Amino acid sequence: MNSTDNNVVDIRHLTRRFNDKAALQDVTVRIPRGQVFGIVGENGAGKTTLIKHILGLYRAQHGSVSVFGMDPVKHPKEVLSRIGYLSEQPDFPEWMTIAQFMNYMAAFYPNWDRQYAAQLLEMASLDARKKIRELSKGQQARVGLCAAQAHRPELLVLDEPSSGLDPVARREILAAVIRTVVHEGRSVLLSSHLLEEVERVCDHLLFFSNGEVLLSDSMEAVLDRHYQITLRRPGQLEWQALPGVFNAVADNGEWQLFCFADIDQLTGLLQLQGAQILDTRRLSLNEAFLARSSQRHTPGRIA
Amino acid sequence: MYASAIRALVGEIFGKNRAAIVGAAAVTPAAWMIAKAYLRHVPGIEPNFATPLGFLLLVVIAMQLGSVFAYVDLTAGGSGSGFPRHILLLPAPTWLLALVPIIAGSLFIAAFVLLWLRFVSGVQLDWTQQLALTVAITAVMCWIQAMSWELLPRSMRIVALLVVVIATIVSVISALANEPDFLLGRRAGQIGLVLTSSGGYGFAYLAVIRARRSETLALNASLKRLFFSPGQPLHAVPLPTLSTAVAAQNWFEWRVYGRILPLFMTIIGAFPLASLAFDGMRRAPSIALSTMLLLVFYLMVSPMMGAAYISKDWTRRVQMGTFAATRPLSDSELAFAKLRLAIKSYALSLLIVCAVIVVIILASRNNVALLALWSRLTQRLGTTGSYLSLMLLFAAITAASWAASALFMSLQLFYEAVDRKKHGWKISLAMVTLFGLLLMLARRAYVARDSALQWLHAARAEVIIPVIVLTGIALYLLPPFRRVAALSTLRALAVGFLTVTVLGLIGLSQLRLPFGYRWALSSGLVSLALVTFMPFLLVPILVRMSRHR
Repeated sequence: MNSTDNNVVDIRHLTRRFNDKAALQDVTVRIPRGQVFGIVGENGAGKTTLIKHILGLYRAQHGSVSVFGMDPVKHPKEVLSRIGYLSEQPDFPEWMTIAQFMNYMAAFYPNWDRQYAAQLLEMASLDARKKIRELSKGQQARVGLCAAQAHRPELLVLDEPSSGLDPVARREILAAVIRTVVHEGRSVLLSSHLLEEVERVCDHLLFFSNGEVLLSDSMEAVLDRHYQITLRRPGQLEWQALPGVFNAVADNGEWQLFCFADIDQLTGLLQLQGAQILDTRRLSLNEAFLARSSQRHTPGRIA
Repeated sequence: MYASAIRALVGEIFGKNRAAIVGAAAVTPAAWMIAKAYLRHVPGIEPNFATPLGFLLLVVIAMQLGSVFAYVDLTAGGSGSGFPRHILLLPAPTWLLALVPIIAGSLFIAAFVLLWLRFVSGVQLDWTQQLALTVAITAVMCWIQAMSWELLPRSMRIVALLVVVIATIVSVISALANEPDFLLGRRAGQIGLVLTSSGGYGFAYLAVIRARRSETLALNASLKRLFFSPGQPLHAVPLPTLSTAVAAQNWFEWRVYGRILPLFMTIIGAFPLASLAFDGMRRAPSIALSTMLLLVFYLMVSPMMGAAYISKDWTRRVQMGTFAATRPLSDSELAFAKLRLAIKSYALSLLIVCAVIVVIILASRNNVALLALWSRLTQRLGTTGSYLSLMLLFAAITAASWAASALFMSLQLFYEAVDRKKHGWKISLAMVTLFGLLLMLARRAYVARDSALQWLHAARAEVIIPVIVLTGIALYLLPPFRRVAALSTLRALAVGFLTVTVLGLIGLSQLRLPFGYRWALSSGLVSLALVTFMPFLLVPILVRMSRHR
């Protein structure tokens, strides 16, 4: 068994350009089997581009993409039959009834479980006789979710699945799906803007910005090591030179540092430099995301 | 208050669609200049628009203008997207909202059509006839408007529109024909015209009023109840047995795209048959009706197959979007599902046309022209030769039409696959060049219409150049093609085409023709076979290109 066998997705040095704009820059990602892998990032950060490479809808311009040990462009049938996919804006054939749609989808997947599909539809409170175009956006997303998992895929790819779901349905359905998939040793790739959701269900986090991977670590580490430090220090602070500090805001001699670091080591170092530590606080994923995003968007505010 | 509301409405309609309006208006002088330059050396044709082509151009432009004034947003989604829904929130009475676009559109189109007929075209129509034409065109415009307001269930909308358009065309032709008994007959034509026109105006007015009160969907639901018995599930149809992924994709393609062309030809074919009820078909020359039907088929098949296949706006259904691209099928399976469907759809439509033509010939009492033509042919080629040459001609036209349809489909796929922002101008340039080549070919064909064989003998270049160009494209695309796992299927197809070509060559050799003509026809046949085969090479490559960008 080589290292690839443990990874359902193995992306190495992937770069993708659209005209002059780099959508992905030297991205290396490995998704291990049995993990819920979250991707977060701003709009246009490259999340959907990465997912489209995994699905074989984009050809790698530089670097390589391997899914289940195969190139998804060369082997679309073999790769896609093992993936369940729900996109942000599913373009389902709206003229079909849900029953027709599930019947149509069943023909593509040898592992399709009709009983399980019926259970999923029932769980999602969907009437199979209804046409897809008669459903609300949220209901359509639920249909997509049912179809994406009725063949018990080895990799479930969810690209912004919650955008059409109401909060209750989002919490219940998504958690149930992800739990089921993970308990059976399958993997999930979840791209979402809803960071609470990501924080709740993901084992590993990939933070994307401008086509680059800013952070890739276990969720536990991400939550344990993101801190906000409030300190007072006279004069300028060369915060860029401090290990793990990625953003800083100065206000009347008081500094707020945002870091991804060993907090004890960092506070020790700051105190050695004459800083008076006023407060240290662990950041939620949402706060860490905002701090990292504002680092790129509001350079003028950074001292 | 009324004056400002009218100004706002007219301003919105003109402002939103000024490009289309200016474009349509500019087509007239441009077409005039092109026609003048193009037809300069063609004996027997005056550079005016007193030709079927000119008339077709007029109808196309008028229809485009009709769409502009029919509250249809041409840029975002076709007939289902009446764009200015926010207009319904304006503090103006509903009748004003409904009537302004109808009246503004009708006046503009009426002025345009009258101007064209009176001063540009050489068509000799009196004022009544011109008025009838104008009314018919604006009536169709109103029907398009009515349909855009979701009055009818979606599946019924396009069928209703097709029926109305065809009924209007047939009514106009019947009402304006020189012979009083042509098609439906003059009286029935006049009645049909009054009904379609008044229905169009009334229906459009009703649609806007109901849309403002949010009653369109209620009417839509009532119609559904009318057609499907209450209490029953609306679509309790048995689910098809889809044993394999390919079978599922074939079913999907047929349901989405395949039925459109046969349905259209059934509706077209139903009209001559329906005119039996008025005894019109028995009196109309069978050759005219048959030719009209064949012309409609051969002219409509390419755009309908190409557009219906790919364009999201046309059918408002899926194209090679994410859903289609993520089906667990190989590229070649996806491509051949499309090709298989295209052939099935084309063949079924042709079968319908042929069946209707047989009925027309059997039911018509006016086969004189047809018999005279047959007699001339048999005198020249003998009975066997005549049957053989007719079969070859029919096969050649069908093959050329199929090739044109499939290549148009390929072109649409190509357009989907490439980066349009980057390569759009190159594609446009190529399209214009191709169109120019076709025009050149058409002019040569027209000039040499009395000596077609001589022309073919002398002008092989025009036939062979497109083949060389297409082969060049195929060769250019060959490296990605090598990765398409469909070589065995293609080999089998190539053998099939080769067999048919050889049989055709043997058939040609049996015709008693001088060597030069035989050589020319043989080279034409080989070129045609190549062009017909080309889509089987191109579509898998293009599907692959548009699937993995």
